[in-house]
Amino acid sequence: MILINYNEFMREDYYDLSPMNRFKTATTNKEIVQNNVAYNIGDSMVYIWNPQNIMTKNFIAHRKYISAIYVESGEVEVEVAKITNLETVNEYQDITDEEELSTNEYETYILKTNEVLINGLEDGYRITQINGEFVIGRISKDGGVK
Amino acid sequence: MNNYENQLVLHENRLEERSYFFEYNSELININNFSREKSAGFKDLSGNWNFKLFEGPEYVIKAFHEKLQEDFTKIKVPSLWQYEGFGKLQYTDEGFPFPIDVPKVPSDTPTALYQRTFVYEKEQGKIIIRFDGVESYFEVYLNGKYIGMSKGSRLQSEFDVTDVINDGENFISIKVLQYSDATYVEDQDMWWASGIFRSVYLLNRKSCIDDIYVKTNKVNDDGLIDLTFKKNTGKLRIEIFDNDQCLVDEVIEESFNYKIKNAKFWNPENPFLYKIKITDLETQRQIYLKRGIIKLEIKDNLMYLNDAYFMLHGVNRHDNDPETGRTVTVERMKKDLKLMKKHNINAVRTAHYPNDPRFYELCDELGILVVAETDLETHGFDNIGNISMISDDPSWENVYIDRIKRHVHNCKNFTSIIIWSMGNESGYGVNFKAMIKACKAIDPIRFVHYEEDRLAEDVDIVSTMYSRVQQMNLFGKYPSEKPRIICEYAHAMGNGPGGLKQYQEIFDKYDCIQGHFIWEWSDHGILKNIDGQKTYLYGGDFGDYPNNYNFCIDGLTFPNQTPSNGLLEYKQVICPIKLKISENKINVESRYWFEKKDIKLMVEVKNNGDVISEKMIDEIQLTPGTQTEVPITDLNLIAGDNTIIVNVIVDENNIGKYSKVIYKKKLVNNPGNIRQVKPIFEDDQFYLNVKVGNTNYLFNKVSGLLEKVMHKDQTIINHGPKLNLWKPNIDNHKQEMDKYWKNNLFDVMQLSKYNFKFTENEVIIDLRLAPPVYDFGYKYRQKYVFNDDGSVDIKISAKKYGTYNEIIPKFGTEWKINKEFQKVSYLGMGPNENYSDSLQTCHYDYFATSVDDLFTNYIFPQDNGNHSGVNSLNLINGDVIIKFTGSEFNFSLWNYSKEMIHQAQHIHELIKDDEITLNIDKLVMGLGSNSWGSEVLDSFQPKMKDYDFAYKLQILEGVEQ
Repeated sequence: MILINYNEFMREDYYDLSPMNRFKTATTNKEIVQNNVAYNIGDSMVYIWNPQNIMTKNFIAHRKYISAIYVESGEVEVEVAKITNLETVNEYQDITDEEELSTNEYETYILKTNEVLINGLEDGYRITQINGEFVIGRISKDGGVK
Repeated sequence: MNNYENQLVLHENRLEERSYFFEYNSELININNFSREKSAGFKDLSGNWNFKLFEGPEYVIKAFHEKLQEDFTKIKVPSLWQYEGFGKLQYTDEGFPFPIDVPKVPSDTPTALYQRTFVYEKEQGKIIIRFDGVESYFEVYLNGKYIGMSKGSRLQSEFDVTDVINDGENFISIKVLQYSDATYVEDQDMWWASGIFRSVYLLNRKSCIDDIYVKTNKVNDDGLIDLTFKKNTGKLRIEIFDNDQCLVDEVIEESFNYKIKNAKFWNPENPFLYKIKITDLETQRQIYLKRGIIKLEIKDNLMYLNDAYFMLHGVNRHDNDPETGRTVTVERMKKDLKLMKKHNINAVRTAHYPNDPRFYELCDELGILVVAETDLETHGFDNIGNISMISDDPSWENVYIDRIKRHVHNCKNFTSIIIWSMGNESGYGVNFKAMIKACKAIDPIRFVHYEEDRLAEDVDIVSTMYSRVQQMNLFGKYPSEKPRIICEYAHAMGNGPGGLKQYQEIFDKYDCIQGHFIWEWSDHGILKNIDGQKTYLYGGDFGDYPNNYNFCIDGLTFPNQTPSNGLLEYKQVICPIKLKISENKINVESRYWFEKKDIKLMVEVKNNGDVISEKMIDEIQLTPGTQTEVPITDLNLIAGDNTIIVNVIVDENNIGKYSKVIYKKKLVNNPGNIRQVKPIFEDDQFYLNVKVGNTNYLFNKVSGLLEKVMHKDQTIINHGPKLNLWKPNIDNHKQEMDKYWKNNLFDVMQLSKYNFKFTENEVIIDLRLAPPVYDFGYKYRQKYVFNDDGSVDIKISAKKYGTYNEIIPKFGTEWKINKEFQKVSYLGMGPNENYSDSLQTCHYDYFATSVDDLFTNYIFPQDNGNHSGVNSLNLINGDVIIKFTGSEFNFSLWNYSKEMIHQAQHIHELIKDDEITLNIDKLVMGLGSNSWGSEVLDSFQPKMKDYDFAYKLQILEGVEQ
């Protein structure tokens, strides 16, 4: 898990350059996209501005897609735990790239305006409170072909 | 500036675009027998032409068109000259074959001259010469006079030659350049080849009609037909026929509307076409059209056809013939479309250019929905970092608009076209916006598609390509306000695609995903005869460089139109009848979209491989989206420990197959005539021989391998089983190969023995399998237990060591078998090759086959022929059987070594081995489609982990199998 200031995020390289750069572009697209609609840039990154029904009871872990959250305004609360500390509630599904897990051992992060959280495959996370505007990206660890 | 390097000049003297129709003047022609060959003044100019290829346009003598040149050779028209032995073939996916220097092309652009004479009987009226496809720039001269020039390789061009053509002998010359400024917008993934590759013909027009536009609609149960004309003054007689019954006969002057009460509506499940006869009363010229009535609309963010929701189960199709390239016959087109229908495909995207007009006529007749793409792709600009370079350059706007206008006008009366596609992989920019506006101005009804309008600002349908299944899930969960399709996915290169079932689960889950198009329909291999063997060539085989190698061998059908296993898999995944079989009933669900269907089920029940019941269940009628249950014999009544399998074929035409294993009997050894026998161990310094009746198992104590199995005096097993993680690569695993396996030297793993020991009935060997250079691998115990019944249990217990935790190609064992054991039977998943993510076309049953028939001869040789879920495998030679049994293993059998299959790059390079390779594997990686797109899903990726693997070997004699 990486928690970072937005300006620094835009300057630095994280993970595979191309898909993460596509997420950087997505963070600038708020004015041209609709809320709660999934958009893609190429085939390695999908993003959603202000998704509804994204808060979950269980932690979600991915095997294929890194998650990144950029808070443009307000706050978003995210709880994060190492997957090694998590117990499976619902098995991993290929078609969603999601495994639902639970634990009592986690860290809570209040993401503030202009902060970016990058959640790698080694961590599960759940969004627990939203009080602001944000974009979430699902970024391929494998890169893309297009 | 010359015309072929100037995008501002689109043509000279080309007639305004119009719809595709012909005039007839014979009373012998009627609504049931018209065809363009019988139309007025029709003269097909196909055939042998005089031909010469020059090394550049400036090498061509200026006066070539004044007379027949003497030093020309012959070429057939239509054709691509590179397929006829002239010039050079080159294959690139997206790279331009010359330096980017817009709008310039190389001075050595291959340039061809075509000449011929012909006799024409001139009639009154206009004489038009029409070209259905010339790549990429051409000039026409008739009787020594310049007629005009055009660009747009796969768009139709017409010129008026009335004043030039003679009644009698004529002489035509055509100059064709392979490259022009137009090439910068024609950079599709295919062979670079050029020429007059579609029909060229003369026709005569005398009626007052310049153009016709047929629109239809549906109001409740009534169908509306609306005819508008671009015409001169004159009266027209309009007749509309339902088969032979004339519904209306009216004389009009301007336009025509007609309502058909309780009309028959066209859809891909029932492609009914009304016939329209239009007679110009002054000239008595007739025009015949076939037209289905449809209504298209988007409501509540979904597409509807005739008020019905539907899904496009599609493929992307290039024109392709292994001997003539993009010159394809109507028969070949028809065969393609019939194959699509047979495999439950209901839609085609004409990737990435307009087709011969007769293709759309066939789609109308056969019932295939069409995403009609125009001739536009600028993909090569991606290589210089700006794919949108000319798409966003206003100086190219006219080029873009010209291409969509010509396409839409030419094709606007074909019923099957429901979506106009603006092109492919060209970025986005002002020219697309202008193009979409121009398209909608002509046809406001049909939907507009272009994949790179990512925000769906201008298109009607939002689209992506190669989105993974998880991404499609997000698109479904967070839907756009526009319907969605995936215009390319499941790249069908070589063995694959796998994972189609998982994609379809998501497509079926979300209504907003209304179409999916596999890339692509056919391999583009070029047929050659090498050393007396038919083989197919691809990029680089013609000295072409740069090239994208075998990336054009990526179809659901082989170049000769034979379906691949991928197509069979797709057929089953999109089968419009879904069955769920249980012990006493079958649940039947209709996934047709439009029609109420009579459904027949051919139900077969097997008991231990024997058919004990066969029954046809008919009288099932289902409307779209409904389901019912039909009873079958209560299989609970079949007593005993038996393997009971129910197989069901849907429809007499076999639109799908379903199967269910109701019971699986416990595995027992078939003792054959092997008597109870104690193994005898004969030990020396180097070898341990275990004698079991007439069979000797010879172990090499130094290597730790079972080196040979002799039965009586014959060596039946040459060696095995060796632990093996390696397989010949497949195209869809190239990225895993490059990222994991090649660098880690999986192809040269080394076996080493730690210990060899034996007891009174066991041989126990401790070994290591590991690559050179690194410090990871497997340490494992391989145990052979010789049972009293003569069978041998083979048990492997493997512990991984080292830091490599990633994907492995497989985990299993390799055997080498005497080549005489060519007959094969098995109980497992068959009859087609299958992998963990590609099983839908297969079922669990007893199958008999041969080693040769188990092999799939991929154009680019690769791993193939796997069968999963196997409980029993017999290799048979006369009355000797080598039998393997176990709990759901994989096997593949080849008359080639894995090294040969891995190394060979063409069919003709495969040389049979002098022994059979048998793989018995615990795990084999799924296929995926990551030659371009979806990685193998996590569940189907074997990982480097600890594994136990066991199965049983028996040598039997004289047992019926």
